[in-house]
Amino acid sequence: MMLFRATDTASPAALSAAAGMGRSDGDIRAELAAYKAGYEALARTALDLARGELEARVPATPGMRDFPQIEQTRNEFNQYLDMSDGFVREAGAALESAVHGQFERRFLDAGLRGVLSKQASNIDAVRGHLKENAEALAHIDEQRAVLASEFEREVLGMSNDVGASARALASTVETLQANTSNVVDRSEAARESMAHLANQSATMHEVIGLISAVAKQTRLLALNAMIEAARVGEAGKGFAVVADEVKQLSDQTSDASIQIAQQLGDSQATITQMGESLTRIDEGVGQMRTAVSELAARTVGTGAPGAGYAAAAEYGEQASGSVALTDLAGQLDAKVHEFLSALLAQN
Amino acid sequence: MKQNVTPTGVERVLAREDIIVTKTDLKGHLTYTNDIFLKISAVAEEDALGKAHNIIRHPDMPAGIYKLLWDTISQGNELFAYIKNLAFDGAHYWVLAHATPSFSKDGVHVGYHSMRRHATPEAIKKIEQVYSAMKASEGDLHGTARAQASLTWLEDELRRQQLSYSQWIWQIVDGQ
Repeated sequence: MMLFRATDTASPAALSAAAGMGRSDGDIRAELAAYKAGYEALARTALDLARGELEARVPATPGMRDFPQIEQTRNEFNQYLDMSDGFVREAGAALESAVHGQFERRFLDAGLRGVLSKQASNIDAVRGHLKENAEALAHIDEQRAVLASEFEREVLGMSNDVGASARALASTVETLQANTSNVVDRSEAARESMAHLANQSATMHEVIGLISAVAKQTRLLALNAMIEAARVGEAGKGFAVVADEVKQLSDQTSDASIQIAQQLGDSQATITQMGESLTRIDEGVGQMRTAVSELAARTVGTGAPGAGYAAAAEYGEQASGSVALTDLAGQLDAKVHEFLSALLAQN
Repeated sequence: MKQNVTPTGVERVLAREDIIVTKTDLKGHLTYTNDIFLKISAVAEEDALGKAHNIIRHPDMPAGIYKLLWDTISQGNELFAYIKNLAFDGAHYWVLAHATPSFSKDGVHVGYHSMRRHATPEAIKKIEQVYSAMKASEGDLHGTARAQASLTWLEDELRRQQLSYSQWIWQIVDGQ
């Protein structure tokens, strides 16, 4: 190693040998002093280096110029320190730059030798990997942005569809509500007509009873007339014929009124059945109206638009009908826009 | 050492495998020079140590580059720059200088470090064009105004090319 070469040359044995070759004491003392000064400078530098002070360099020492080996060793030692110092600075700066995305800054290994040069290549390869990773990440970010954009388009589309469906539903429910109201009105009108019809039927029943009673009386009168006519003999013959005609007429009237009474009874039964049916229809319509009102409340609200998102969140349990589907659709649309803005801001 | 060396036009070339290393204190006075520096600068160590680093400035260099250099490293950052240096005997040599702040083992900022490498003829050719334009922008200005003028010229040029200084200098280092 370069460090020991100079020391070997400066060993006491070498000095003794030199002394034996006819050199003066002064020369030997001068050489010894030069080596001693060189050694002490080297020792001080070694101490600094051992403490981690990489700024340390071996300074020039007295007598160094007269003994080139001392100067050469000093230069080689400092050269090594310059290389390792440069290596440390390069490694730190190249990796720091890479971490900050400044990938153009390479690890310059010019001036480095041997292992230091090889390690410089290794570190530069790491820098290259960092660069590739950063590029891959950038690519992923781009893809994410594209996905986010597609997602945005689809979600916005769906949100719009939900809004449109809600509005269409609300419109349908409004029509349904109007129709239901119409059915209720008509059902009430039919009930009134039924009551009227039942009244008329009862009146007719009374009239027929009256006719029937008159027919019975007439028949009795006709029979009496026929008996009286038979008693007066030949003179009452013509009267008997009239009385018989009257009897037959009253019989026919009686038959007809019985028939009418029967028919009236049938139609009264039908009217009663119709009344029962109407009652059931009324009940059905009533339930339908309640259901439609509830549906309307859920879709178009109960006159309290935008009852609040908190209420919407609890809607499932509450079923209070205070939050409209159209409001929910509007809130969904707003939330979707808010979410997408946040998503795009992240990209 | 005389303060004003007249350039002789003699060019020296730093070998590809060699590096020049100098260290200065916080004021820019030389505290260490390696043997390559002494040889290429034609100066004895005892004549160099303690001198202000700017004694090796070549008059062809635009002042804006030194301003950029000091602005950058005094903020604790590194800077690469092509520099035409003046030897003590009037010769000159081109280098790719890497200047960095130096810290003691306790993290105290104690000075600056410059490691200089061989500059390729292609890089020198490109840099000379830029530097001569920068120099021209300095006109008759003096002092800080002079440095600011050429630095502004360079910044405008880089903005035009849409490059950071680092991207620009590394394009030249990489021979692009």
